[in-house]
Amino acid sequence: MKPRAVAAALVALLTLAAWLAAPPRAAAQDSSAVTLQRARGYYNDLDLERALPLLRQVVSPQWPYDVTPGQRVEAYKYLAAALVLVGERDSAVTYFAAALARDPFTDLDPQEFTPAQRLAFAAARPRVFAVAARPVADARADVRSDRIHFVVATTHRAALQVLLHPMEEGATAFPIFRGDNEGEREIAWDGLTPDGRLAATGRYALLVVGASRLLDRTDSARVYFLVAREAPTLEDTLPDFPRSALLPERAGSSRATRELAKGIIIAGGALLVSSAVVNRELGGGGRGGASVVAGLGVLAGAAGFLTLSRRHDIPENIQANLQRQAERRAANQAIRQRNADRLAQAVLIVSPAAGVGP
Amino acid sequence: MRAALGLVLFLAPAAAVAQAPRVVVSGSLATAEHRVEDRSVGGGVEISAGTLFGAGVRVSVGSRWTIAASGRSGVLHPGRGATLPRDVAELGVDGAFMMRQWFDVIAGVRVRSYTTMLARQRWTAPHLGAAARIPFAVPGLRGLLDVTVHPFAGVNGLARPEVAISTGAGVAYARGRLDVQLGYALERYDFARGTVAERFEQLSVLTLQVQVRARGRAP
Repeated sequence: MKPRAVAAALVALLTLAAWLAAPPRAAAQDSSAVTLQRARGYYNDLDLERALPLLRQVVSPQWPYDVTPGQRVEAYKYLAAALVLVGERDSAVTYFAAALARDPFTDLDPQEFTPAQRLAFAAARPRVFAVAARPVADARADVRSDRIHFVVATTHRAALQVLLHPMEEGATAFPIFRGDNEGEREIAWDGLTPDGRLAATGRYALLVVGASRLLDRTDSARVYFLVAREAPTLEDTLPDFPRSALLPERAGSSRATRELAKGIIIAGGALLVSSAVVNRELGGGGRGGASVVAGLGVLAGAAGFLTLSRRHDIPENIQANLQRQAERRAANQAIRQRNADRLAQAVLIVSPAAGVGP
Repeated sequence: MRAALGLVLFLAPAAAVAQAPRVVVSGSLATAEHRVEDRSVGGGVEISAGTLFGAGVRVSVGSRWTIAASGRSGVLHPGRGATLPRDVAELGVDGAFMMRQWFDVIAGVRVRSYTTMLARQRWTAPHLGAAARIPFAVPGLRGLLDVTVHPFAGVNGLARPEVAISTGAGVAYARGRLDVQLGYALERYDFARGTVAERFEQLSVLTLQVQVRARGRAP
């Protein structure tokens, strides 16, 4: 075999070996989860001699796989619980404290853990101080009747302050809770700012600031969320009546001209009858009578023209227009009232936003 | 009789009972000119003219229907080409339906007789037509136009006319219960056109009519 071929084969083998030796990233979390699951299985079977090494591996800095914060907290919690069962209470308290430091919401279910374990857990609480806030859940709240709920926690008794901070420039934070707290607490917000206004839309930070009553320590946490308002569909008010939509309130020359036309129609009708309809073989047809009627028609038209030429109010039209205007005003008032009712409903939509804080 | 009247009132629609019919009586004075030419005789155009007196009654039923009965009579004195005076007598019944405030459809029948000392000619003319009222701005003043056809007009001794039409125009003025109308009307009848028996008749009338509302409210 030629030296170049040997070298190429060696490079290929080394590459394959390195690929095989490297833990796949995709399986890293699975490995931690699987190991934790196996450890919990041993713990539940009280096979603590097998459970403890697995749990210690997961929390060890040498553990080669990714461990999520939640997995680490769980590992600490079960490691501490197992240590209580094997009599290593001090170590157990330390690991419980580690779990609490990473997640102040950590707690022991009385159905699952023994009183001794819970006593050790309670002993761990004063040793560490941390505050936390749960991510804000999606919510839709009519602020007249509903509240928006936030959940915060302190590891032990502390002076707690929970603030909302609008993330727009120049906005200041305002508190929604001040007081002592121990453990988990749900805080309800009415959606209003301190001056009674509905919260503006935008990005907000929920700030949790705590000062331990037992230790000389403070801690803070923040989560972000978005506030939006549900936009109500509003009705348009009725527009002003165009001039053409209202009846003329004063008689004018335009209608007077029509009177003349009417007179001409009558006169024309009479003359038409006495000329076009007449049998030409017979002649006659009482043209004189037709002319009299035609003249009267013209006179009637002229009388109508003169009557309307004098500008005067038309009371029935004025009344009809007033009634139409009043109906329009009433309709618009009803529309404005309905719109005001819809605007007053003020529904806030809250959703979690990206970003976390210490 | 009372029982029958009670039954009629019982069966009549409530609205009809509630709305009393409007009754109008009228009297008229007319100057008429009658022209006739019978080509089969070859005597030329006969003209006679005279005055007719008439009376009538009109009843409005409901808000749209009107029924009228009228009659008129008089003597047409002979003029050029005519030799004998003619007594004219006419009776008519009309019904009208108001389709619009200004427009009626009318139908009816008119029976007329021309009587001379030698003969009597009777006319029976069912008619169908339309009438329009054109109100002016002067309260109570209105113009009148009408046209009717007589497709089934019959004259004893003659075939049906090929052209039978009446048209009119007038002006009316109403004040209170009174209504005064001056109307011009022309009736034209052409018989057997284009034949040796060709005959033309034409009646033009200028009528002054006074109506009095005897019962009911003004329309």
